[in-house]
Amino acid sequence: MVSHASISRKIFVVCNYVFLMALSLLCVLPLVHIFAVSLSSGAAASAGIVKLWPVEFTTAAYQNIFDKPQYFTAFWVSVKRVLLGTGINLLLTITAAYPLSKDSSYFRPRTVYVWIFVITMLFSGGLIPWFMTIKATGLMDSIWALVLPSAVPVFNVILLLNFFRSLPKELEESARIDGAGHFMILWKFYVPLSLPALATITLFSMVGHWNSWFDGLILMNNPDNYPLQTFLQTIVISKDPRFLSAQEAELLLQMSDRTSTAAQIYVAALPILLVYPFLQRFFVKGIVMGSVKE
Amino acid sequence: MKKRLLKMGLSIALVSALSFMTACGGNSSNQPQGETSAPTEKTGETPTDPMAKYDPPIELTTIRSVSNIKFDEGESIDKNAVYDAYEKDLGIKIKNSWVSDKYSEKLKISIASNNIPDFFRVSASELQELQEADMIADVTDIFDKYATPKTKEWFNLDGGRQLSTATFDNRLMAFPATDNPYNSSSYLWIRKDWLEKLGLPKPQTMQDVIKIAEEFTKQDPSGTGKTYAFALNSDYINGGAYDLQGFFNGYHAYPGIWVKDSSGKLMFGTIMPEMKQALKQLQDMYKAGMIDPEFAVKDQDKENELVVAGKIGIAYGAFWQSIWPLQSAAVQNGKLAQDWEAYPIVSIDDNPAKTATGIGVDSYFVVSKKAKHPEAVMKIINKWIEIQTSSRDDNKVYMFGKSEVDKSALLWKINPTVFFAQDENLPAGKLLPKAIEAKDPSLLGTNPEINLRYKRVQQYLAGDLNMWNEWAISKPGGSFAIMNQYDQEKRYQVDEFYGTLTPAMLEMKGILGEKTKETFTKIIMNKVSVDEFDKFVEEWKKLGGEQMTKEANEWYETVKK
Repeated sequence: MVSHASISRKIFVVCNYVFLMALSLLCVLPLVHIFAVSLSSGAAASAGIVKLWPVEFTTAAYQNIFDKPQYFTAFWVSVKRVLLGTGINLLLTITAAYPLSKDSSYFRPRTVYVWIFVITMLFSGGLIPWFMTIKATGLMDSIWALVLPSAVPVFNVILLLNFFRSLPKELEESARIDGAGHFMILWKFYVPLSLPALATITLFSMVGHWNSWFDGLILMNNPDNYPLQTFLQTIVISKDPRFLSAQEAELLLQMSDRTSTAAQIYVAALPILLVYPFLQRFFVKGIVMGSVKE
Repeated sequence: MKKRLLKMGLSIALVSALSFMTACGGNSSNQPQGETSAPTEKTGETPTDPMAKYDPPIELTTIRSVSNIKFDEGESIDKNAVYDAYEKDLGIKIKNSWVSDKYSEKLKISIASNNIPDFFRVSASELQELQEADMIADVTDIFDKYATPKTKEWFNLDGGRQLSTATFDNRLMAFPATDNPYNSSSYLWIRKDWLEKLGLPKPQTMQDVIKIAEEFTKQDPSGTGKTYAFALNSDYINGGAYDLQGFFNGYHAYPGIWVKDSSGKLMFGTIMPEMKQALKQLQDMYKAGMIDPEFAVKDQDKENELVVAGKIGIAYGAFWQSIWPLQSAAVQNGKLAQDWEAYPIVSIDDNPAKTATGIGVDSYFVVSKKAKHPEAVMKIINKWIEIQTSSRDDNKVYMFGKSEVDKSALLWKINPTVFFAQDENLPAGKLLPKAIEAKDPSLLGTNPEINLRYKRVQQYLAGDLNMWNEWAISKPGGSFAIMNQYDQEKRYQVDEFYGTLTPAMLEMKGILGEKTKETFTKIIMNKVSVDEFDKFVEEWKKLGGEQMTKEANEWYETVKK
């Protein structure tokens, strides 16, 4: 880096910072706004006067959530799903990526296998066959229906496979000379060396599992088994007053309560937001390592 | 994000495509099923007592949506006093195949994977698809044989119009979820406190309304800096709340429904020449800055922000508009901040304005072709109608749950089939104002809903402002009273088309609706001249409107005879 920057360089730096700051504000402001709405009174929220700071501060919306047992059931389903799902994803991704990262000279049918994997990434059977398969396997209405159909994330496998290939071959060769088997090599060398890549795919899996709602909707026959995002989907639905009988309209009033919607969205987004800082350090390292290896 | 949207779009497209494919494929495999189920019908119960109990009990599967249903302590949609009562009284065990608040999405999958329960609720277009796919049972004979006289009367109160929306080639393929068509009528809601403040009279004509709008925007009664004429949302053609249907009706234009033209043929209200005049008026108001320039991208909740802030004083909408969204504007911080009142819609000329209403049915109950006991569904319906027409003590569990006491918890919604009377709410508009004025609940009769409303009005009068919305509906001169007044003055313009949707309607209605909205919005926002309307009519016809009109008239010929 040059210490004495030219004027044009300085202008660029300033502009760049302004631009990046604006960009990050764009991402952060909606969150702040929703947070402010969730802590405002209902009247202020429906009048639209809440901007970035709560108006007529109240925690009523959060109390409302804690009164709803269904919210916690759904939350727990989501937690189970993330823990189980991410665990399974990681295990299968690692064990699939390892053999596929070998040279074809060493592992002959490698290319065939890779193609089989890639084809599932490019083409899928479609929603109905997917649904019928899961139904036929008797997974409906259980947590496994949310976890097993997406047990092998092919994209992650390819990511990790490429990372494995970038590790020096000499490591493996020397380990082999010392008598290490495949399992030893995988778990003692490859996995510890690939922490950055693993952190990345862990995050992908976690966020994916936490945010997905459609499969929960299709595969769960009882709303008690809904994961959190599916549950939220049913709350934050758009209303259609034309299908409304006179008495039902009263309940619509509660639904149009923006503060509680905002609070629920916030509580649902918070856990996954908290995961980011912890994985952040692996991320940074991962990028650096990749660049040096090139 | 983009990718996810794409994925979602793709999956939706796939579902619909596949539902069609499997539906066609299902045809052949379904045929024998239908034939084998026919004899069981005949050999079933020897006497055709429509209410005979099954012994031993049979099982009937259905699917449910539970949004807005409350339950007694310890009960759920799968296990509750209402389902138990059906088993006790009729020997019918009702079992939910699935329960979801995203009903239609889940139903699509069920239909596509040929996995439907014995009976369930569908929309008009789903009914059409199921009928074409030959997945649902013909219920004509079941209705003839098993419907009680009361049930038959209930379904035919409107002369059979609602039944005919479910009749394909003279065969009844579903039970229409009857309701009254008057619920979709329009009302003119105005802030009475503003009228009084500015010394303006109640509106009698459209000219009055325009004058009031001008005064409101000019004088800014709440001093908020900028006041607009109408509360409008993006779904302004027929949105229920904050729409313009009542305004268009004031010009004798009826967008969205079929009307008879001068030659006695059916024509679609959206392309009536009268629309042009109404749009011209709106454009003039927009030019004068009297209409919220952002209305085209706002939903009712968003538009309501302006109303709550005291920037709008006129809102066309349904009779229940006081409940949502007006309640949150009227009552703020425990005080009555805005005094909204409903008025009958007004006319631009000497002919009184008629309010456009649909047929009153938007869903249907269908019976699967594979159902072993299709007539059991009729029995369940008979039961519901018996409960509605006579409030006997042993029926209370169906309405109020296990306690059999009315707790205003709407537990009747647990019932697997729900039908409303085809004249529901009309009596309410006559009885409630009288009883409220006389302070005499005995004038109300026995209808539970009317009595509930009276109770809520009393709560309002005792100072409970959360019940303001009910007061605006049920009070003397409230929206119910107007609903009744419309009826007496014959001011309902009911949709003349009550057949099953024709192929062109199914295919084109969505596209034509988009086209209509786009053009009208452009005209109102003064992006194009109002003469664009004539071009739009031509295009509408070319894009499939002509075909739609032709099919509608072919149907019309068959009922005229």
